[in-house]
Order: sequence, then structure tokens, then C-alpha cells
Amino acid sequence: MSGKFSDQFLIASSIAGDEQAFGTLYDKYVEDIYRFVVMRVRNTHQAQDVTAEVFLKAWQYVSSQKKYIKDFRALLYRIARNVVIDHYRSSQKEMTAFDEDGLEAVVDTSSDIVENIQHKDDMRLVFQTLDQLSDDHKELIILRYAQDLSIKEIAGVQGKTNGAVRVALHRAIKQLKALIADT
Amino acid sequence: MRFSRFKKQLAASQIAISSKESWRLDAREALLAEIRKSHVWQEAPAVVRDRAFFSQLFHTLFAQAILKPAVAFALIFSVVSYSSVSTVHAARASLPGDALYLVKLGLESAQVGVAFSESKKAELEIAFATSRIEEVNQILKQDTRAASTPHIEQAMKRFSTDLNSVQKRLEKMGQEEKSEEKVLKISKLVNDTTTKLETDLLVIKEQLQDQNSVLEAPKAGKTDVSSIDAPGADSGNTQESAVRPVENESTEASATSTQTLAGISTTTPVVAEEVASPEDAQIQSAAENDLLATLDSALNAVDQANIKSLEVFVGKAQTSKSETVQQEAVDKIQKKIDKMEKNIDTALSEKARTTAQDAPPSATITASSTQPVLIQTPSASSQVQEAIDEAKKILDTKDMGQLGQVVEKVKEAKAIAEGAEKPSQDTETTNPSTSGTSTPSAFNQKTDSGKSSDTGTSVQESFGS
Repeated sequence: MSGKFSDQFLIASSIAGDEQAFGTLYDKYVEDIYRFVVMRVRNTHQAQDVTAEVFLKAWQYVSSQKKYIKDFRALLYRIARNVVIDHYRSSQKEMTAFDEDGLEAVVDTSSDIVENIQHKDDMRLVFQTLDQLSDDHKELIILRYAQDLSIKEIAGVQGKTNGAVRVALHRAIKQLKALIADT
Repeated sequence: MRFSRFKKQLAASQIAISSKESWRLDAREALLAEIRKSHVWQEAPAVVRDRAFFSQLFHTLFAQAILKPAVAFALIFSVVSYSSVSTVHAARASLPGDALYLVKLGLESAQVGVAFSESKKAELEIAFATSRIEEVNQILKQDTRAASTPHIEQAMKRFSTDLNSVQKRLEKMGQEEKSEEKVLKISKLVNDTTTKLETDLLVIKEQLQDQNSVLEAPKAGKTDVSSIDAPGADSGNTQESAVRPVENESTEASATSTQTLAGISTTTPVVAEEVASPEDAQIQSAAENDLLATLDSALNAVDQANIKSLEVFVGKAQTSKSETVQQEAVDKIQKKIDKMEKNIDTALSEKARTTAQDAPPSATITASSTQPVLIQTPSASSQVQEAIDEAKKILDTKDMGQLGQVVEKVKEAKAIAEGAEKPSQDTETTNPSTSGTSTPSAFNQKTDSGKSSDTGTSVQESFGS
């Protein structure tokens, strides 16, 4: 069964009363959403809270709408975006850069010390570069190159047309390259 | 850093970032707990939470892309929404002819479709076949003859389809299934169930034949007015009881034939109905003859499934280390042989009686009942007996390794009794429901002078329809 067919099956089953079906959807997407949220909030505990809220809101949405959802994955990302925004609005916090401890908390360390140091340095550079992008551009780069979403999927997440996403992504890459060149 | 490297590092960061399993599990449980508190979940009836059924149904509709996803979703949701849960209940309780009967059949197909093993599929199909018999019995209690005929036919056609599918699955399992236990279990289930089904089906056929006989001779004043009871209730009073297959005995293929018992119609309580006109009576009679032909197909399908189950069971029993299983195989074969012999004797005596009464061919064909196939020629009956004798001889050697040969002899005897010229399937004579079998399926059909022919055609020809 294709991915989207299985999602529809699981959604229908969960609405019908099979809560374990929604649990299966959770298992399928929790890591993706968690990683996306971590890239945005930069804090493990906050990322966990936000991620949990995303899935609860997703259930509330599908159970209240009870209509066919073409792309559940896109729905999750859409909800995640909104929850992250709400999170910062309510907490009045700004997104912080990864500090040493923050990076340690979310990044899996390898056993090889030399590789670990280089790996962490590279990652820190990546995150620092991302932080210099605008919010929209940062999100585009994360969705495209970290979450590996297609243009069409990103359009679904952001509620834009494919063309608009393509243009915006082009601009984001342009800005990113300029920043990378400066480092 | 170049952009390509940046992209790689960004992608790598995703792999490096992972949540703790303990958190994932806790969050999952918390999520499901919230779901269970929701009114959507609370208001879903318990039956809807039957994951085994509905999940399978949904899986089928989506996985097999039977419908476009949006349509499938809408259909599923309408079926399981609060106001429509009763629809599912109603569908399950429906009978042929009811508005929801097709939904019921669709749900059954879906269940089979999502079953994960051939064994489970066969188990479901044999259970559904049993449901068809129950449905027909309910119809016979309720409906008038005119109304019930197409409905019974619908149920019986589905019955034949399911049993033919069971037979194919048994064949496949016998060849491919590695678990001896599974194969023995399912073949035994099918064998026992088909034995019962044959008995029930013969009773149903008998009831319908009696009705038909009343229709054919209403002016002769031979009919008695009574109600049709549930199968088996009154039939014990009739002559057929002496020759009807013993309950729960191994199914005898020959017992599913359509030998006439014209005399029985005069003694068996039947329902008398007024018919509007001779033309209507003739149309009704033709329809019922078609129904009897469908029943013959159904009996043949039962018989084929029964023989296949015996073959598969014996095949596995031969290599089984369990003496109990081996003995069971021997017992099943013995019962089968005994039944065949008994039915041969009965068939011959009925043939003699029918000939003596000078019954018309049409009555011979249509007034079939629980009797073995009409063995047309003495040489055929002696050949059948020879094959049976050979089977018994091999069985007497008590050599487990030769049990397969005994089954082959049994099949050979059946083939001879059917009047088949060769053991391979004759498509002209085979009912559509019996594809895939190695022996002709004309066993339950009337034969003309030892020549296999399509029962429906011959019946129609005899009635000029």
C-alpha cells in the first residue's frame, strides 16, 4: 500500500474508533516533526512539548473535520509551523542560536572524538548560517534540504503555489550562498 | 563551505537529531489517552472499534485501490459514522433480495481480501458458504416460491463461488504451505464443513423439488397442503431418509447427484400454491429448474471441495508423525468409500424404480434429490464398483504410503459414475463453478445416455424454454 493510501486508511480507522491507528501515524511521522521543530526552537524540552502538541492538534483537526485529507504529512508540517509561531508568541522568546549545551542535547555524538569535533563544528556553522536567514527563507531551506520535502509538498505546507515556492526557494538559496561565501 | 557541503551537513543534522525513545513512547501514550477522552472516540460504538474487521475493510478499499481515495474515505466514513453504524448491522443480517445484501457480500469479500494467509481466506470462505445455507433456509421459511427463486439462486451462486475458491486454496496450500499443522487443520475443517453443507443443501434441494413437483402436477390432486419447515424437520418422514447421506459422514460425491424420486412427491408434504395461468406456471417451473441446476452446481462445488480437502488431508497425513492424524485420514477415506458404495446401490435401485414408473425424462432430470447420480449403464456401475473395490483393497493393506492411491481410486470411481470419458475436465459439461478441478463436474448433472451434458440446457430443452 502506498504511503498516502496507508495514511488515509489510518485516518479513517482512527476516526472510526481505532485509536491505535492514529498511534501508527504518530510513529510514522514523530521523528520528522520533532527534527523540524528542533531546527526551529533549538531546545529539546520545548521541541518535545511542541511536537506533542502538533499531534494532538492533528487529531483534533481530523476528528472534527472528518473529511478526506489528501496529504497528512503536509498537514502535520502546517500545524507544526503554526504551533512553533504560537509558541514564540506566547512565550515571547526569540529563537536562540545553538550553544554548546544546546547542540549536545539534540545532536547524537559519535564515538570518534575527532569526527565528533569536526561534525559539531560543521553543524554549528550550519545552524549559525541558518539563523542569519529570514524566517521564511530559513523554513524553506529546512523543509527542502533537511526534511527533504518536494516543492509541491512545501507548497502544501505553506499554502502557496508551486511557482511561488520555487521562486522563494531560489531567493533563499541565493541568500544562503551569499552567507556561506562570507564564512 | 560550499553550498553542496552545506546541504549535506544540513541533511546529516537530521540524522543526528533524534528524540529519546522514552519520550516518544510516553508522548504516544499521552496522545492516545487524549484521543480516548475525545467525544469522537467515546461515541464510536464498540463494534466500530473492532479493529480486526474495520481495519481490514479499510485496508482493502485503500490498498487495493478499489475506489479513489476520496471516495473510499467518504464511503468508509458514511458506513462507520454514528448514524450509519446500524447500516453495517443491517447489512450483516440481510438476506438475498434485501437492499443491503450486496453490501454484505462486499464486506465479506473485503474480509477475505485482507486476510493474510490462504488458510484464513479459506476459513472465511467456508464460513461464508455456511451463511449462504442459513440465508436460504430463512428465505424458505419466509418467502413465497415466486419471490424466493431468484434470491436463492443468488445465494447459491455465491456459495459455489466461495467453495470453488476454497478448493483452489486447498490445492495451493497442499503444494506450498510449509506448516503441516495448518494444512491439516484447514483441510479437516473444510472436509467436515462440506459434509455438513452437502447434507443441508440436499435438504434444501429436496424441498424445492417437492415444490416443483406440486407445480407440475397440480391437477392430479397429488399435493397436500402443508408448510415448508426448516430443512430436516419433515424430511425424515420421507423415503429419502433411507437413502440420504448419513449426517456428518464423509461427503459422497455421488450423493449430490440429481436422481429423481418421482414417487416421493406424492408422499412428502409440500406447499400447494395457486398459479395465475398455465403460462405463468411454466415460466415459474422453468425458473425453478434453473434454480435446481444452480443447486446442482452448488452440490458439485461442495463435492469438489470435499474431495479436495480429503486429498490434501490425506497427503499431509501420510507424512505426519502423528498416528492419530494418520488414523483419521484412514477413517475419512473409509467413510467416503462406504458412502460411495451405498449411493451406488441406491442409484441403481432408483434407476430401476424410475424406469419402472416410466417417468418422463424431464421429471427425471428435475426431480433430483439426495440420490447419487443416475448411473446410466450397468457397465458404468460395475466399473465404479471395481474402482471402489480396488480402493478398498489398497486400504486393507494398511500402508499409509498408499493412501494417496486410495484417494485417486475414489476420484476415479467418481469420474466413472459421472459418465466422464476421461479424467480431465470437460468444459462443455463442467459447471462454471467447478473450474480448476481434475475431474468432470457433471456428477450432479443429469446425463443423457451416458453422455455428459449441461443440466440447465437439457432441462430447458425438455421444457421447451
